[in-house]
Amino acid sequence: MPVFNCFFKIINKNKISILIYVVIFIGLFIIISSTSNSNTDLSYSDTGVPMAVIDRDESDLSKALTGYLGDRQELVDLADDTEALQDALFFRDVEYILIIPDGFEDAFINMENVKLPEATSGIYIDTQINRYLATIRTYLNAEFELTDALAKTKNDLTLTTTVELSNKAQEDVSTLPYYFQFLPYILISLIISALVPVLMVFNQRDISKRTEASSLTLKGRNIQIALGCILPSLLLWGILMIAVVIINGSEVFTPTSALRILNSLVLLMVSVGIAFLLGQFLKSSESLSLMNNLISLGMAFLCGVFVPQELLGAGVLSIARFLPVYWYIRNNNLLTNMTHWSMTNAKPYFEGLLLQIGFAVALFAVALVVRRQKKFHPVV
Amino acid sequence: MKQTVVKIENLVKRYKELLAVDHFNLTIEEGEILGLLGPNGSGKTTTINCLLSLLQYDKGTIEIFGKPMSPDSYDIKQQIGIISQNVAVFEDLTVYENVDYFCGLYVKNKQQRKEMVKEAIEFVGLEDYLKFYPKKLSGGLLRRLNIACGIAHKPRLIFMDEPTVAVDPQSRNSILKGIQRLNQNGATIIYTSHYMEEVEQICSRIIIMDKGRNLAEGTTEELKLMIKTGETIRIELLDLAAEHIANIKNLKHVFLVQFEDSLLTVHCRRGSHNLVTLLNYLNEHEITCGRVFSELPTLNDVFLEITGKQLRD
Amino acid sequence: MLHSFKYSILCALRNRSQLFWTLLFPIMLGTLFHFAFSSIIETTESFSEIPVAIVTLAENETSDAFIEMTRQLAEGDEALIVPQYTDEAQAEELLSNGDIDGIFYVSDKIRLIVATKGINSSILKTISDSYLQIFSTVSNIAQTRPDMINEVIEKISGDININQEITLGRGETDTFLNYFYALIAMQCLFGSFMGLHRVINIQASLSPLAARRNVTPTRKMVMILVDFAASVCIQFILLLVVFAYLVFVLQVNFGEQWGFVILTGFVGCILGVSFGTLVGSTLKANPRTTEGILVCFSLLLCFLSGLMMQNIKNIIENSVPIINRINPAALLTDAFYCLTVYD
Repeated sequence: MPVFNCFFKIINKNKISILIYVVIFIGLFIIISSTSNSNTDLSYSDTGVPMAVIDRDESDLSKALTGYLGDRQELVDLADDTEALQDALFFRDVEYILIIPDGFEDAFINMENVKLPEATSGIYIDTQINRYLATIRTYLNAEFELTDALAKTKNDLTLTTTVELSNKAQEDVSTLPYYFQFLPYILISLIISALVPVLMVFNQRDISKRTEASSLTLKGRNIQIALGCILPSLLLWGILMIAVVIINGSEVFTPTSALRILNSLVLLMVSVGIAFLLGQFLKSSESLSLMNNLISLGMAFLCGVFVPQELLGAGVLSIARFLPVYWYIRNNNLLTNMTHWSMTNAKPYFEGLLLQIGFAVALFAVALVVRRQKKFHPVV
Repeated sequence: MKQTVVKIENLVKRYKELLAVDHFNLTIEEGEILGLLGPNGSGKTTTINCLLSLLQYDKGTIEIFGKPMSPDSYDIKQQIGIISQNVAVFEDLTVYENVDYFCGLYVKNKQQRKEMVKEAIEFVGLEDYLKFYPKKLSGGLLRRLNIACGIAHKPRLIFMDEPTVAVDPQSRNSILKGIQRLNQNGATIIYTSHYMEEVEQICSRIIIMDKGRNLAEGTTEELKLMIKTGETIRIELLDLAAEHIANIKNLKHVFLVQFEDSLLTVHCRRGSHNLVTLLNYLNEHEITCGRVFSELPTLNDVFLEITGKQLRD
Repeated sequence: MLHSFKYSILCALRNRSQLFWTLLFPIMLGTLFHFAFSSIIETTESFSEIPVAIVTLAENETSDAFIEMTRQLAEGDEALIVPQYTDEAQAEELLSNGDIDGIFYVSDKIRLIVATKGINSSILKTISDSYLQIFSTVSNIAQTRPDMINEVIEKISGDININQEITLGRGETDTFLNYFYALIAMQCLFGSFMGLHRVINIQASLSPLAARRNVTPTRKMVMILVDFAASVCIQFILLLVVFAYLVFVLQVNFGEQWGFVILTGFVGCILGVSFGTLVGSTLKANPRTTEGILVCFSLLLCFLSGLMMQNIKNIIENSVPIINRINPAALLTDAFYCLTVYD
């Protein structure tokens, strides 16, 4: 199996750069996954986020409001100076600044706030402030005294709903779903980086002509190259799975996790398909890097790897449906939401798998056609 | 009095364990075409790289045009041209642009440069290919471009490292003629090659190198005189008795006789009548001859004797 | 010098494939961002009703009022929820099947069970929290000032919105701008490829072309500077094209301080080419390995500046702030942010 052996020898020679990729990607993997669930919902958490209140009114109302916010968030003392405020936001000392203007208590005039754009806390704090003021206003409308209103509002707003997570949700407070959510970016990028350089070597004009002049059939060659692609990819996938097991420990040995792993294996087939196709027509290593980034990052954004699928708009999702990663993510989400296994639940999951397999097959088929075309119409 | 253009004294270069250049000495006079011969790994390229200050060396002195050579010797570099074994041109520039670029690194005057570029391109015969990119040129044309880039600025000293490898006979001929013309116009040339016929044809002096050492030095004639073999005579014969073989061995100047597969091979030292003497002997003993071949020693023979190796190793 | 510069630029321009990819990639990614993010804003503004089950554990005033409220929330064009009134067993099954997002257990208190933490569960919680609080307020008023009750109830339904978001500086920024800043930073860093290839063509040990160039009387420093300048120029021009596309076609907001924004971009180009030059000159490996390392590193730096996850800079600031100070991509994105928002 000379082509196969040669394949491995070349990969072996390139193993340093592949190793660097693996290490960096696993590092990225770990960072992404372990930090992404710090996006926990703030309405449940007991600790608030750091914020500041600039009180220019210094009235009972403003102080009470400050106290109310202080009970729920982490108040930080800041000077009333634009530069100091800008700095505090920039260096993320605070995520939200509320500015209560002078004369607020008298007239309920407009107050102002500045938010840190990427923090999700802004909306919640807005809501909390609104609730407070709305309640005060209601009491004032009912001709209550201010002090009375303040006291009653404080009490009212301590009433909250007890929220519990159902059994299924309690089990799944792991980071496992997140690992599998970010896997597509890592996996596709890694497989392309590992396989395509080797494929490019084989498809170099001179080498490919020389190989064609040999007695090995096109079919034979294709099989050997396909095998040469599949084995290293399995190895790399294996390494990533081991990383997952090491990080998540025994959580991995549940049926749901097994299904996630199966899902990722199918994704691996798709990645190899993409790499195989790319290897047929890419010529230089610069175009390789750029295509690699384009495909892996592009698909990641469109299909819900970085930005959850539930947030993406209908237009984007309709395009994303034509991309294999969309179905992978959908499967991953299905597994997260499923509380028990039944035939009705399983059906969409298996459909997702089949679709991904279909994509993989299509990619390989197109690649083989391209190879055949090149044989009869060689690119000079 | 001819000026010494290149003077290398006691050059030593080590690559860890390997002694690539071993106390090498070399002097080149102005107007010479010096041939540097040696098998692969003999230290030719290393010596040239040291000479050009592209490589650091461990010991020795190198002077070009009477001045010590260093990476900063820009005045010396002004008068050197190199034509390396691997084609050294920009893939993204056309033939004209390549020659113009390299000439411009030496010659600042725009008008003068334009003239020189034109001359260089005509010199190598690439006038029809001005707008071609290197990728589109055949091996021979590419080499010609390589040469044009190296000589456009009319250097006094030219280094040529295997300039005719993989070149078609037509191009090769024109390259060799070109080199001779350059020499006639005053350039000193250092010529490295594996092709003995070329070296014999154009080099005024030859140095044979192996294992980093200067093994033999001289003109073609002088080198051939260094070896024992003066002439090799081969005669086709049907049969030859052992006593005849012994007798032939005793002929004047003969030192080796072989008879195999109907071919008699006689190795003689230098002498003007070797062939006649042998033919007379065969005639006297009525031994019928077929074809007769007489060969003078080649450089390969010289090399073989001196180093015990083939040149094309 | 001009002669060398002219040819240096010509070489860079002729390398069409590299130009193409360097331009194509950020434009495509930028377009992708644009579509992905603009649709997010639509999604969060227009959402679909939340399916929820209501289980009455005990009937009393609180529960009656709550159920009435849920009916009202289910009506009309701006319905918030799709309630189902059922029993415990049925509700739990619906939840585990994923048919509903939460269950309200209503008695004199309200208990909410959800399957996942997410936007919908937060909204459900907000609904019931608001209910409890308003109920308490109205009860208080009804006890003390029953005569005002009608007036109060009318005004309760009005939204109070006197908390305006402002910016402290001269510009505004929205949540997703950082992605675009990171994209520009990425393009600057990808200029390192050009830097690397220049080194290959100048370092005598790396290519025969370089060897020839080293045996010319042109000072090496001159050649290096000229190549560097040419690369930066070309990179800068490409960057300007991308800027133009982002600003005019995709309407990305880079603020008003145009001069400084462009200057930052220029510095970014210098940064990228230098990075490639540094790696190419110091790393003794073959070009392909070096390219691989460049890509990896650039991606890593870009990731740490927020290209894939918005919050990463926050997290780093809180744990290892020094990374934000030395990461060139982060410095670039911060620079753009400041220029957009602050004076």
